[in-house]
Amino acid sequence: MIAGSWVYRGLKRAAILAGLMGGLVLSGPAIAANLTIADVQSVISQAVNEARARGTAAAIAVTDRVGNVLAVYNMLGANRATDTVGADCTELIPNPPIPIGCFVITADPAHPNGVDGKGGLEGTVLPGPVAAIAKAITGAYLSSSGNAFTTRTANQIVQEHFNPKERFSPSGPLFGVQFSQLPCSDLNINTNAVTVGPKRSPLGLSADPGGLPLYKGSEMVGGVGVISDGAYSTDPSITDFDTDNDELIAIAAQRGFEPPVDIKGNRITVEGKTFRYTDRDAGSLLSNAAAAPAFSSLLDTSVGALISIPSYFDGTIRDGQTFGDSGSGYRADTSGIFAPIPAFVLVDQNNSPRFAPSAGSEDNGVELSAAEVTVILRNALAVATRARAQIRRPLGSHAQVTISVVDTNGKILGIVRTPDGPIFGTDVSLQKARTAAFFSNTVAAQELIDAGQDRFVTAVRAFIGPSALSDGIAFADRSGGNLSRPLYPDGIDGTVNGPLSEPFSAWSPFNTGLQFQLVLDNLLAHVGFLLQDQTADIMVADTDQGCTSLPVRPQTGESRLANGIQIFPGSVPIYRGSALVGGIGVSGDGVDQDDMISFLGLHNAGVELGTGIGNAPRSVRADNLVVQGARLRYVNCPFLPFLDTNAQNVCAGK
Amino acid sequence: MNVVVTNLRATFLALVFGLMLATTGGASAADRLSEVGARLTAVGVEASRVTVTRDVTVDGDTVTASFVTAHTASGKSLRRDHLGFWQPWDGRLSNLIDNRFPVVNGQITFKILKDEDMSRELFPVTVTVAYHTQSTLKFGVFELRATGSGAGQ
Repeated sequence: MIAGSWVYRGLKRAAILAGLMGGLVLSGPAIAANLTIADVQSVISQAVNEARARGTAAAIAVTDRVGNVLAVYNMLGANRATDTVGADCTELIPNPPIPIGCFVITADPAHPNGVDGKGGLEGTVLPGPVAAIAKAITGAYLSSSGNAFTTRTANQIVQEHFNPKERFSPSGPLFGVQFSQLPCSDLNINTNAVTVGPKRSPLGLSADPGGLPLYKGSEMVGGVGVISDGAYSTDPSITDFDTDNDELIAIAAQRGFEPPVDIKGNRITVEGKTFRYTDRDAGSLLSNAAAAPAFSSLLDTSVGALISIPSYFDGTIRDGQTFGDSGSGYRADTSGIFAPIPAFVLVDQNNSPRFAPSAGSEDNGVELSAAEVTVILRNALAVATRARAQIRRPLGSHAQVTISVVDTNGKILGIVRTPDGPIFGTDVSLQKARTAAFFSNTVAAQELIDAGQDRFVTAVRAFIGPSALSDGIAFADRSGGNLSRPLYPDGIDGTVNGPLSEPFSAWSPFNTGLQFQLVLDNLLAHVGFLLQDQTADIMVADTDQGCTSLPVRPQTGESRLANGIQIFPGSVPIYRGSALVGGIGVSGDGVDQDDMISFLGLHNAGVELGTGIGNAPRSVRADNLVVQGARLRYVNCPFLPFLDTNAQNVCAGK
Repeated sequence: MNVVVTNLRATFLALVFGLMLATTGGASAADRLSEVGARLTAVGVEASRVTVTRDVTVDGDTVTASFVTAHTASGKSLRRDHLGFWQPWDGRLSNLIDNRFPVVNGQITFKILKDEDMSRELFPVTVTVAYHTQSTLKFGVFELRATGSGAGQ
């Protein structure tokens, strides 16, 4: 063996070339802002100031846009002194300078120790700073320079009805998104150093108010997360306006880093319903930001301390990355293969593209070629840049999304994005692509059985028919999503649950059914890693970076669903003639826009290529199935989707 | 360890302690590979100087070729050649390179990395070891995880 052979010299050359070409093809927004150490200190000081004014204490986390944790600060006395049976969380933190409080996961804040019978993550106890990180990442990941969303916005769009508790209305448009950015995702980077992103979140995305985005001017630069009440939950009713300490402390923390008013969630509508940004605003604060304490005074252990969290934060406050610089892991494409469309790509720590278009790994004569993947991605990008955005301001903006293409093994064949797509769409678009490819594959039922998910296969077969998930029916994510709701048909109260969901009595955003069960062992391992006694002789290892216990593939070293599944719309399987060859997933705008970009982008690519690549034959699409009296849906495209034409029903007949 | 055991935590304690203890420097017992893919114990490494070998019992199989591949956290797919060089790999099994490891006393010792400086790499790195028989491919997968902070964990 020759020492030093690990670094392949060809990759070094590619990185140098990319650097040399950096000025030639760049386009997109001028982005040059980051959170500095002084900014982070200011955010924390303002949070502490408000918490004191409210007579409480909080755990506070700050991240940059790509999920690097820049600080975790814990006020003395924050959250529960002990958990549900009397133990504290201090010993679960490496060398904590102060006692650390606990929080409990509960689907209903009226039940602070968890709701009996809900299952899933219900009742799980973790140190407060872990929830603060998840909230901060959510504030950062859901937002962009065209939309500012919060964890309260997330709460509104992940429940069984949209709006929550609005009987007989369908589920939230991002139903299931909380199980993304998982600690086991093979896409997300896992280290406590400030590096390229995107980074993982310890609990996925949060729907517990108290997570807000941070801006410098009009540029989205990060997020802040706060937990003070010891409960990590949701807001089951949005018909009122809560006075929530977590949220108010986060609003104070955000002073000076607020989003432009016009892009806040409460200026954005979906299905005629206005998103909720926060329940209160700065007018409800009890503190004066100008009187915030000096950060240096907060490091006295009689006040609080910076807290290291294994694999997230090393205890030293630091600068964030500048989004769009290669150090953030996202930069303009310099290859020119998507020209003239301004495209962003993901890059590694050496500024080399992480997922440049590549060929399928099946080696069966029908696999996608790298050239075909390029054309699919470019056509999907073209649809996105024509599509009228649903969730962005100002009106007349085009959609901003991430697009992923995978093969039938789940191998990533390419990822590209528009410059300002929200970061959460990176992991989610990949989940969607893999989900469509997997559930359309004839091996799906057997692999689920191999992974111990027999009950879901049995339920689907009782629901649809005895050959379901092995008969080659093409499932878009919208189709699988129909089967993954706690009410079937979606939103109709009093009906049975979909076969991939838990029954309504057990369902919660922390217990979604197959989606959750597939990653349960990974989450358990990660929780164990975070919970362990830091003084023990034998340390518990973290989860694998590759989700699910489905069989691993020799082509990838991981399962076909290596970052979990996603159950809201925005993907379709890819075919060559009648042969399944992969999936395309899109995430970042409204779900109908995501559907259209994947479906129409693939269709247009097929027309351009003329190689048999395209959508599933219409005869095998899941919308041929009438299940329990309701037809499954395949895709749902917007009525008048484009900025440059008045074309309607653009997906019809394709 | 005064940890509260709630519904989930009871499960994870058994699962995690039973299956996922970190090791350092390579597995101590010989592994077995399988046609559906064996999940092997993770290996902790010091990123600045990485040496990893893996002993595999072949159980009477007639081994015709042996392979090693790696997938990095940043997305690179690599194959190892018989001289120990790592090259980009397209994921196709037909493009694997025979590493020619001998079978000795019913075991293959996969020499995967020796004194490699991987301090600029993002971890974990997923390694696949495999061998061909006359009729099938058997393989197993494990992670290299950096110990301590820095390049990754």
